[in-house]
Amino acid sequence: MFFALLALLLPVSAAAQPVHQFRSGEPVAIRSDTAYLLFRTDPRVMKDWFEFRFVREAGPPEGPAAPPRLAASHVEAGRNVVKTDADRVFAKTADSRVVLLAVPPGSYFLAAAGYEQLKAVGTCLWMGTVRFDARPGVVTDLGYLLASLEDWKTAIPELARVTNPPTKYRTAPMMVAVAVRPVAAGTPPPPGLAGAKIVPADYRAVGKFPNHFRTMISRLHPVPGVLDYERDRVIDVKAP
Amino acid sequence: MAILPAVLALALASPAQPADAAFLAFRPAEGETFARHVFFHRPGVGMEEARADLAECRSYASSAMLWPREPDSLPPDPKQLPPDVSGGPLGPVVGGLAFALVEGGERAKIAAANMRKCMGFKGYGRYGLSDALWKQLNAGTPEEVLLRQARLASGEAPSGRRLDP
Repeated sequence: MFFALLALLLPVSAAAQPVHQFRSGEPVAIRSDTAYLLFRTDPRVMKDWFEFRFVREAGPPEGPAAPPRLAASHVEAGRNVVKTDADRVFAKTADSRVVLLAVPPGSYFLAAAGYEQLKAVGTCLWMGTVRFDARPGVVTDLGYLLASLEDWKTAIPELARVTNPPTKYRTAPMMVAVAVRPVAAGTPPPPGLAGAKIVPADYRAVGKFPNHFRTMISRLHPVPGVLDYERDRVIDVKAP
Repeated sequence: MAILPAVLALALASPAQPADAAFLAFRPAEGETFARHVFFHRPGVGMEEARADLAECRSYASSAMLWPREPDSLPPDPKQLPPDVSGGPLGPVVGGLAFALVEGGERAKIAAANMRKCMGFKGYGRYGLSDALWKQLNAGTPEEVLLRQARLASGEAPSGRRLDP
């Protein structure tokens, strides 16, 4: 109750726009007070039922590879979890399923990956992941988000040598392996976004943090030029 | 109370004990895989660092739940814990006791998976154990188990095969 009242008093939560995931063919009118996230999955090498969770941070990061800053108010922070719907695809091309979300502006990190059959959070990237800014009035292009079940063989190049270990995990919600492939320069905008301002996500490394979702844990596969590891220490490759 | 840190320091400093030999000498059969019954070892790591690593990974492992629902608060509101669908989707149908039996095993698998991931990221190798040795490794209070595991992790190299990460 206390936190509910607190949330009502906080200007940040009052200004937050509801999250919306666009359907195929839905017109997009870019609003100046809303941020937009664009990402692709690759139907050639991955199943179409993977879903992702982003979390909006309470403030800017406190340094290179800093753990995320979560809102002090539980209720407000709960609103900052953005989940994607695997069935709601904005556009399809030969090499991609395009997802477009309208979200409140802010700093986000990729928190978890699951699959639609699970109806739960999935595998959380508590031991290393990436954050990015989602600016208002702009479409932030996250490139490809790639996922495979850990126990399965995959054709995703980044994860091909990581998954399918001889000793399977065999957990009931299945463990998911995740990679991010930042958008390549010159990638054409997806259909329906021709007039929008699209900027590539400026990914930065996120340090490890506790198991807040009480789920299976893992970490994002290293992202060249962005995220690396020295054992379990997260390295922000972009840090000066 | 002042004696407690001294006892802990003594335990941390203690070298490998004769009982460790059985764990170190266990040799799994060719092709045998181990998802749960394992211990960890990393060459060159100190006892204190190994203990801290094991404790950190244990915190990731022990906090995991079987069906954590979508969080409606983050960090989870202590008043709303556990953020777990009690009994899962079939809870009301199957009944609490029956589900608890299944859930216990499944949660143990998830805990083992988290432990394996976390210790693997920290560069530790996994070494298999028989059921009997596994029980022996986990006998006693959580602190005793932690110290035993840390002693193994930082001690003599196991003679058994190093498993896949």
